[in-house]
Amino acid sequence: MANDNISNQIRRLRFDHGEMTQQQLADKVGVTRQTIIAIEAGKYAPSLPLAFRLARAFNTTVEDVFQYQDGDGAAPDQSD
Amino acid sequence: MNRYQKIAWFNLIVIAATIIVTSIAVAVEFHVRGYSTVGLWFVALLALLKLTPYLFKKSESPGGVVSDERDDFIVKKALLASFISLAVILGVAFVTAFLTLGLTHTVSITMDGLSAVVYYVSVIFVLVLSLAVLVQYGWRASDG
Repeated sequence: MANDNISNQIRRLRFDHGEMTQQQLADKVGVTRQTIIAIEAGKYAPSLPLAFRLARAFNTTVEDVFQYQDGDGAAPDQSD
Repeated sequence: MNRYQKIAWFNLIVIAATIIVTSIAVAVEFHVRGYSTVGLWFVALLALLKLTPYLFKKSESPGGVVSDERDDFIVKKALLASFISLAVILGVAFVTAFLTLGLTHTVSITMDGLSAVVYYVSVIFVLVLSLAVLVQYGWRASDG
């Protein structure tokens, strides 16, 4: 349920978007406010569709909303 | 606190109250009469568990969301925990019976005894389900 390797910028993005409330964001992406609170606190890792909906709610990409770090603290190598 | 949490707390309270009331009733009756039959009738309090759909109706949030993927995830894991706990309990019961009675021993059980077994297994299922839901939501009232 929770994933220590995933962090997110939802709180910052909410405030950057006109101090959007958790309820407004929840309504926008179709979840309950409890789920937004759990995601923000890192207690729940959302599904991929919900991650995309959150990113679209902020007009940005999933990578700008969620960051994944390997166990050693380094970001994964994204070069091909 | 959402609907699932309210139902889980209600279930726990009803089960706890039933155990307490039944225990007291059986103890008092046993003390007075030397045996107990009526006291066990208080187990019928568990019928209150059937009221949850009427007591906790689905109420939509302002955005029209009743439950979401996280709620489904929590309930699925709670159901899994309940089934696993039942499997473990039944497994231990059969192994214990096998070890104490042996493979060829014949036993019989009355119909009310069988009904009681099914009844109490159902109660254990609801108990584990409720505990698993509350643990996953974090026991908290507002922000779990």
